Amino acid sequence: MMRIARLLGTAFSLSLRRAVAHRINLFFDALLAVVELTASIATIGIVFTRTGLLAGWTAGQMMTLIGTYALITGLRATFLDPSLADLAQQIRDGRLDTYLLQPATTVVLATSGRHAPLALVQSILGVGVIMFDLHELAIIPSPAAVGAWILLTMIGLLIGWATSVALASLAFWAPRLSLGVLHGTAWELGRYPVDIYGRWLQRLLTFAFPIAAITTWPAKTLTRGTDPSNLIAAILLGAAFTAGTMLLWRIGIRRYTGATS
Amino acid sequence: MRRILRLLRLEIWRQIIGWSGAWWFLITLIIGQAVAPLLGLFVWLHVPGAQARLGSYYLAVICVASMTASFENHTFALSIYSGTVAAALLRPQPPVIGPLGENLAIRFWMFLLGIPMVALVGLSVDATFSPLPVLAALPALALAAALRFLFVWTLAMAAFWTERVHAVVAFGGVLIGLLGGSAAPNALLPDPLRAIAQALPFRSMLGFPAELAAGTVTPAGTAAGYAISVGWTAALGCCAVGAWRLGIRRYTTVGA
Repeated sequence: MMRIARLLGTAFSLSLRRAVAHRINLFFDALLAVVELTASIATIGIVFTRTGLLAGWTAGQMMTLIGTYALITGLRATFLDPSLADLAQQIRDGRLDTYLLQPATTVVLATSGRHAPLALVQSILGVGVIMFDLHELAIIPSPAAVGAWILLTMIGLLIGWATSVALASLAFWAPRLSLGVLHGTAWELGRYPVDIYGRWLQRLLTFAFPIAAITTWPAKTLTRGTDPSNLIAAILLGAAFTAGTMLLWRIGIRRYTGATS
Repeated sequence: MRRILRLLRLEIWRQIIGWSGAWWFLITLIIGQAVAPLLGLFVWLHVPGAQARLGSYYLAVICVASMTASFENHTFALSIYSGTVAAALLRPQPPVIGPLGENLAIRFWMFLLGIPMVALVGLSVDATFSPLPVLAALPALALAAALRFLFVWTLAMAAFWTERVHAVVAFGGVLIGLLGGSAAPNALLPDPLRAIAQALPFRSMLGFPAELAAGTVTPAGTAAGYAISVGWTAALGCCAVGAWRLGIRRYTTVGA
């Protein structure tokens, strides 16, 4: 475990050194992160000029959700997206061979080996929005609530990783299938609490693609206190999705024939 | 002019055939275009007394978004990065024919493959349309298609100067989503944001044709909307030509 952490740390360090060599890119990434976050906040502002409550959520609670969404999306863009963006393509053209030959866990190397450190700007802004919002709401979360929020955020990231890898793994069976855009689209649904969707869609977004565990439950934990049932459900969902993805990956790898075989 | 139209027709046909094998990817693109209007619909359905004909409006927005989608940051900009745009410069034809032909071919497939999804959403929200407002919306739809292409193509030319073209185009996408009628119908925007959104080109790219089709615009609003659309189409056309001339002066490729 420590070896993998060291490997990922080294990969991040290399990516960071490459990224800071192009400082103008930092400007573009920071500007886009600010514009996207401002647009999300403005949208909520527009909605709350017409109502005081959106599916049981106040404007302040919605802002915490927006901050959480920005935080976790930034983490995903930093640590997962660079590797996952062309994973299906690597399976198709045989470049996965490179990872299979290296003396470390293939799935970790292939899915989290490359990073985009500049995308962390979005996460930093997200944390800023959460802190500002909690201050405005005069809420001081208990250490237990903060701990549960951190745990839920990490589980959300894990579910994001598991669902992305599972979709990319389908390339072992259907090489032309490219579902990365679909995953990104489904991720967008996390901008709002699952309570705004219809009943069947809520169930789908809790159990099939658990966006509820990714953004709604962490935001609820910070603003309304810890709900043990949500915490247990998130842990179970995280474990189930990770186990399912690992199984799919192993079956896929057995089927994989490489570039030259 | 006839020669140019013939070249464009050939390019569209060539691209339609080229994209015909990527139907699964095209479906994910259609869903990608529909998700922002669907989110807007879900949100506003929870706001009491938001607007009559909300379902019809957002269904029209989904149709407009699918039929005007532009991906020049993925197609044209990549040809700048890879240097393949150099081949287009040597051909005796306007350089816009390549990106425009690919754009129209992708839109054709998105329209065709998007029909089942539009029908499903239409049935779910009980959307209804009258023939006359839909006919009145058709010229606005054509203007929206032209505007969106010119806007995204101009932004994609940022690839002549920076490698962050996706961020530049995403910035434009955020403005279209916020002020164009996807995050909220123009009528529900608070003042002075509503007046600002009406004057900017983003509503003409998305919300205005949808409002016309749903029949939620007054005759005076229709005339003003068309005048704004035509004005911005001319302005963005000039911007595109200017950006191309500036960019091509800067462009170098292997062997240049």
